[in-house]
Amino acid sequence: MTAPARNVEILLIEDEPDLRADLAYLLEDEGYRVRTAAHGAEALALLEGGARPAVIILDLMMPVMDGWEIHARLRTTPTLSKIPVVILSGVANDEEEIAALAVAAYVTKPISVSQLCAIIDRALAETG
Amino acid sequence: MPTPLTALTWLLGIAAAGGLGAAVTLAAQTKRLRRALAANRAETVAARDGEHEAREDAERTNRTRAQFLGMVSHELRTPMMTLQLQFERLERALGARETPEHERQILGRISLSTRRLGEVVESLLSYSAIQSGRMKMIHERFDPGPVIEAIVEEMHPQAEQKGLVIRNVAGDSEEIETDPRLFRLILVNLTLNAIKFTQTGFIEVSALRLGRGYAVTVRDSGPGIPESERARIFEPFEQIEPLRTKHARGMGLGLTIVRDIAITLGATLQLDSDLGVGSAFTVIFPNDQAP
Repeated sequence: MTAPARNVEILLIEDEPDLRADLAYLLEDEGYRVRTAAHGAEALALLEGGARPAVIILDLMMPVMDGWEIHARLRTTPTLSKIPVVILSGVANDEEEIAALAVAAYVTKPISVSQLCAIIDRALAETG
Repeated sequence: MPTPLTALTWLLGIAAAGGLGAAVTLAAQTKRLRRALAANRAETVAARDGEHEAREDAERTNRTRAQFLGMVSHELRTPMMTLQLQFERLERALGARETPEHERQILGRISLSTRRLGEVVESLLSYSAIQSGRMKMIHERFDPGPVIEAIVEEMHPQAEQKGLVIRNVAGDSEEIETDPRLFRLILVNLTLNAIKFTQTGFIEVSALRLGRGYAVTVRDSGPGIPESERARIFEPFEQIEPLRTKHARGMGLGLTIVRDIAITLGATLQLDSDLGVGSAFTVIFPNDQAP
């Protein structure tokens, strides 16, 4: 079995410190390089500073700048709009809201690391 | 346009010309009528306001409920995921080391409890979502075969733990058009329910083309359900065993969720049960595209 090429950078935007730390640890254990941000504004600062992750994992309900807002900003910024976004939310939104977000995937917590990796790899494969 | 009231005042004028007594009576009657009409008008306005208020109240309640659901959902799901991730970290860390058997057992129990907690959270949230009308449906054509196979696979450890055999009696394969997520939720709840209430024997999942429908059955070798209890078990928070002495865990929401989703999907739900032999829950999904 060949492991998927995972030597890519992931930006994990999540406000819950434990969840952020544990998920970052496990994703790194799976072979990705992981950068983290506690909310949208922190993520935006990283991206404006030149960070170009291959995938963004994004929580929705966050203080300072929530997931909806950073997502809207990403979509309207030409240099950032192509980065696939995987929403990882504690809220199970209805299908219409999810469709309106137009993201690579929308997953509801809790999700196992192996399931999340499969989703990340698929998002990576789709963007080439 | 003369209103009845001004017309009456005009008549009153004529009556006054005719005699004081009549005029006084009429004036008093007019006053009463005026008061009655005014009260009536006030009532109509109040009723209209009341209706408006009731509608606003209902909308406010729905909004509050949706907000509450979103908040509770977020507050429960996030620590659930943290718990799972921390468990996984621990497992990976210990994987490399030699760990005493009893510590492994403790880990196994933590894992099982975490999964149970996850199921409780999931069924509570599903139930509330259905109740508040936030569970939206999507229609998709898909082959339910692999979905059934995956669920049976997932349930293996829980069945094995009770010494039960769970098997997928692969039946007819064909595409149906329904909501795959809700299809899954129905089947997960039915199989969990069967595992929960069956002490020895088997759980069997089968699928069958049935005219213009597609029937999925979860059969068990459990105690069976007395005729008198067959309606009650579908009601929320109801279980056959009395709360104080019950053996089975859970909140009694599984079958309510199954029933409510079946209604949402236009599916019918059937229950066949023999005391001491077992029960079979069948959900018949409409399948208009069937040949």
